[in-house]
Amino acid sequence: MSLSVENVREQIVALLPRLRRFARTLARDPHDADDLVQIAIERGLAKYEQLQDEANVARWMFGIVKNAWIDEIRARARRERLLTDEEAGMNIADPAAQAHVETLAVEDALARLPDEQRLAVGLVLIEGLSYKEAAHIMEVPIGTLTSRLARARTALQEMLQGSAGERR
Amino acid sequence: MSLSDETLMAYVDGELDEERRAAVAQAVATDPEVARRVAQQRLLRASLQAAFAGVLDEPVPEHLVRAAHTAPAGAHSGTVVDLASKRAARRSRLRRVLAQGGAIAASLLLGALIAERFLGSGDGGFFVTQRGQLLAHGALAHALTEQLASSQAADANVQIGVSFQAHSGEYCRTFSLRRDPGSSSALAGLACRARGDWHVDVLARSAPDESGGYREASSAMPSAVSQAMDAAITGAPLDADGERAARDRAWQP
Repeated sequence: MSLSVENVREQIVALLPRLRRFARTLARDPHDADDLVQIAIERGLAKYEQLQDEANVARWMFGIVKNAWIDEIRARARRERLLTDEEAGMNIADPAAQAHVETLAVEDALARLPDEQRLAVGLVLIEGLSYKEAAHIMEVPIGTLTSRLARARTALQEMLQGSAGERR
Repeated sequence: MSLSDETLMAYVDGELDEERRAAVAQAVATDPEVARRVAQQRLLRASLQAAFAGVLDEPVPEHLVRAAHTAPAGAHSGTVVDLASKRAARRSRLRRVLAQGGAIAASLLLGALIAERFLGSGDGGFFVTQRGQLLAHGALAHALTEQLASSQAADANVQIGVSFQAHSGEYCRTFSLRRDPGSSSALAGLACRARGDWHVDVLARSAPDESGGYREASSAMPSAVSQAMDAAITGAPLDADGERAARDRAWQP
């Protein structure tokens, strides 16, 4: 027995804040991130019949966001680079940005991680999923997940210590 | 006992079984170096969470809620083509610039729905989608590449409106399509030249004027298209000489 589509829709609506946050960790630009969420909503609903009654809608939707992101990232890699300057300019121009230097430093550091490490960080350290759930979504063994997490953490520590040093 | 970084990370992540968790907790209490390493890991995790916590407090954009409530569901939703075209319109750079305008978003959606009628007609179609991007095709692509507004035939199916250079350096052109067979409406849009293709960034319905004919492409431009142009344009629109020169350079910036 599959879940009713109304039930799935309601669960997706309830998940939107977290899906947006997760997408934001993957695609830093907020509009890109919301586009990712919308694509995932459309894809998820189009194949919601694959969701069986034991299914966890959250885990399933995180997986679709992840897949959508991986699908898009290659095609969009070039455009992302073209947009980088513009986006950086917008952030700098934002008067509120001054108050969020720390946040920007974290976002910058995260953005510089390899994609698969950023995914691990987003799922475990930001979304707070278990290793088991995160590995399932990423479709990798737990050992792969933990080694990516470890490398990501080491890299983030170094980058953030570096940026803290520069500001002094 | 020496504790690996991975063990301490798993401790901070709450992933150790009770026995190992207790062992690490003991080490934290007795070994300042272990305590320092654990504190560093906790700080990193807290910094990451703090950096993204604000997203949860943002109002969720209405279009996402609407999508969750109304996007076609199920294997027979049969929406592959127009999902792709909607996505193309939404994800374009210009769309990004325009993200604030609800009215414009509605026009784009409408445009995508109209575009559906132009899609799927094989080689005769004006559009194709490629990796989620709507591209000009066939006669439309040909006209965008070759046709000059200053010398086009008044009865050509594709009418070129304004050509201009965008902030990105790309050349963009507005266009209108004469007739959607079976309907009295026409379609207008904006396409920008990138990587050898014309990326259709905006599409909207343009109404015929009272006489039943069609006005000049530029004056009939739907507001979604003119606003997209206003947002993207740098400098003045190309004049006849500029248009010709840009075409002769194959629209290379």
